[in-house]
Amino acid sequence: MLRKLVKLALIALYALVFGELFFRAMAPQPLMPRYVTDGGDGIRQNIAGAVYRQKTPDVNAEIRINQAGLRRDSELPHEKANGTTRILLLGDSFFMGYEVDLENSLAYLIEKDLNAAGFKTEVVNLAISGFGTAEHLIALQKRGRSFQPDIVVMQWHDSDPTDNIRSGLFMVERPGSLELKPAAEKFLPGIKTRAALMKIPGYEWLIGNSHLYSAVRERAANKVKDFLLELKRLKASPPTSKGSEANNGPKYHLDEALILAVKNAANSMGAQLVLFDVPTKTPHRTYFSAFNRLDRDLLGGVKMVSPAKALLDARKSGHLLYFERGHGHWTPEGNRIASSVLVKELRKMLANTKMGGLAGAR
Amino acid sequence: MYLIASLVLNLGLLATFKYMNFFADSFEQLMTGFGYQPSFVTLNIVLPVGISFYTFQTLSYSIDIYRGKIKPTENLLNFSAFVAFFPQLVAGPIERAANLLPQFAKDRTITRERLESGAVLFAWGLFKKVFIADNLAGIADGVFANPQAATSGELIVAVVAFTFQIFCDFSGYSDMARALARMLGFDLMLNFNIPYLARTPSEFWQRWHISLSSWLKDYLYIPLGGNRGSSLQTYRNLSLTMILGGLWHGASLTFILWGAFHGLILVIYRLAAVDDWLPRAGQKDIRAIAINTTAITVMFVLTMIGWLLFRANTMDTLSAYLHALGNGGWYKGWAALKDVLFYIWPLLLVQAIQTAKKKLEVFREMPAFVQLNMALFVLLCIVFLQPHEPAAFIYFEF
Repeated sequence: MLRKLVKLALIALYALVFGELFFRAMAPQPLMPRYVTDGGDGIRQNIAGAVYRQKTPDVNAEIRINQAGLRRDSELPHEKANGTTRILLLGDSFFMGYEVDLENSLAYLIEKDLNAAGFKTEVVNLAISGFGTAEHLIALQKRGRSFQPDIVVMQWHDSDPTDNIRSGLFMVERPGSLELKPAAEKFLPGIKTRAALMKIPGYEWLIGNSHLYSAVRERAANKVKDFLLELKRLKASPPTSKGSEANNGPKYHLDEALILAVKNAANSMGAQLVLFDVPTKTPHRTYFSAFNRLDRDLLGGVKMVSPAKALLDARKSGHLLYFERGHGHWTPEGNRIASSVLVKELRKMLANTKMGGLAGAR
Repeated sequence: MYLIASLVLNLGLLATFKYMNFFADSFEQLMTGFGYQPSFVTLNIVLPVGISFYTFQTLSYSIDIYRGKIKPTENLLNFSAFVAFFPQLVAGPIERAANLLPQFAKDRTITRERLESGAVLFAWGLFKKVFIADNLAGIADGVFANPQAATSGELIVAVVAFTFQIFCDFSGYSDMARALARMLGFDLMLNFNIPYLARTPSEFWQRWHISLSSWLKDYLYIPLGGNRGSSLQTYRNLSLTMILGGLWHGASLTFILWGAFHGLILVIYRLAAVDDWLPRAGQKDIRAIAINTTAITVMFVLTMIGWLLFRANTMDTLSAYLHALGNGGWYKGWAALKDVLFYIWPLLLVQAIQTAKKKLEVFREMPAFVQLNMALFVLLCIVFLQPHEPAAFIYFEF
């Protein structure tokens, strides 16, 4: 019996070694550890002071988080200096600059470009990987206000509709209604598990270096995500989905309601909202605007900016704009093009501000 | 009388569901060309999954009874189980009543040997389907969706990809069907026997979709006269059999063209008596090896040309593909070819072992350590390296 157990243990150990070698040789995995924790306000927060690397077959990027949980090398005082414009970013891993170094991230580029253009600007990047619009709303309400933003730029991505259902933080009660109701106090997926695992010696090394672990974790996380989504849909029945996912039957406008709530929250802080498109990449390397998933008629007052055309033009010139072997985020070139489109729009708005136009635009 | 009733019923169902719209549309187009405007009724119906497979299976039952090869069963349950045996119902192998029907009547024992070998065969079939075929589908589908946008090199590689995709897709299903049946105590016929190592068209059809090709031989080619008449009659019988074999796959001109192409190469090889002068397979002298290798290569290229006709689906796509071959950029297919090689090398390795050992099921003859590594490799590929969106089985459409 003991011999059998030892034999089984040895086979299991060998299988782990084989698995690691298998992935390194056959399919190197993106090593994308996430350092997030309970923000204390019902949603996730970057771990303050965390420094870690993201490694894929294409990149080896360093992520540095400041003491306020922002991806930024310097600390930002909450009080805004006179004459400074604060631009607050709400987004997920795209806005956070996954797979690129800080210097190639959208937040860094727009701050640099606006300052170079003579606009004294600070970018407050509240983006957290995995966030949807529901979490953006909470982040703005609970974390953003103290930074006194002038402009709020919120990312809109293809994953937001499902994220908004999955998080279950808000709901709309009736089809066609834009009245948002809180539905849960918190959404902290995997946070307790992650915190417990982090206490295990060697775990941190594992998430940063093991291809086998990364593959298993990614697959398991996706399964859990799918399960959560189905669970939320079941719980929400009737009606089936509370979100804009359902294709049949009455249409719920959770996404539009959330965007309008973010706009109202931004306006209440004296800021204007810009909804910025992260175009969806198809396997055939074309892009289409994620705005296509929204009912634009309901968002008449929201400024919507899309870099889809600029990205498509750059793609035709042969640029690689989304990583193809990692997690599919923007490459440095993708970030550069997206930021240039956004900067162009922000410059117009800031020029208006100087003329007192921004307040009028709210 | 009963035979006629069976033929009318089975072929009638097949014709109604599978071919009626095609022939009505084709006839309408033809008449429109002559200035008439006929209006035919076309059915807005879904093709029942696997209809071609179980229709041929039930036909063989009726014909074999008529020929006195088997006795009619008096057990309706056994007959129903024979027609609707779930592992092979939707995509074969097309079983003969003489082989499968008696297995329902006798007591079956599920042994450890059957479970083990069945599990290995199932895993190998699943590996071929989800790792090789489904990943290659991504390469082939992208090019065939828009041939004009591809370089000449990418177009060629797309056909190479489809050549292995269709083999792994279909033989993967057959392996899984045979494996499930084996684990339940049944033995289904072999459907694929390393077909891309065939040296001639006739060898190819003895190795590819064996259950269909042997069906066509027994119930179509031989009744047409087989090779018993003049040479011309033999060529006619071959061509007709292959064209109908093509049509069996679906109501499309490209399938008919594919069948006709195979009929044509069968006739040409027969005219040149290639099967007669080729050295014996497996002969060890250099001359024989060189000739056989060349023959395999030529046959493989011909098979790929056939698959191009098959995959095109429509004459428009075929025409676009052939036009695009002049796009240039032959070397640009290299990146895609590397992807194809990445997915097919385990298959090539296993087939090399199978050929060397002259046996298809070689896994359990390997040393335990090799078995462990192979099992881990196959398992990891199945679980982690299948594409996010699996493709449906190609032969489910037939």
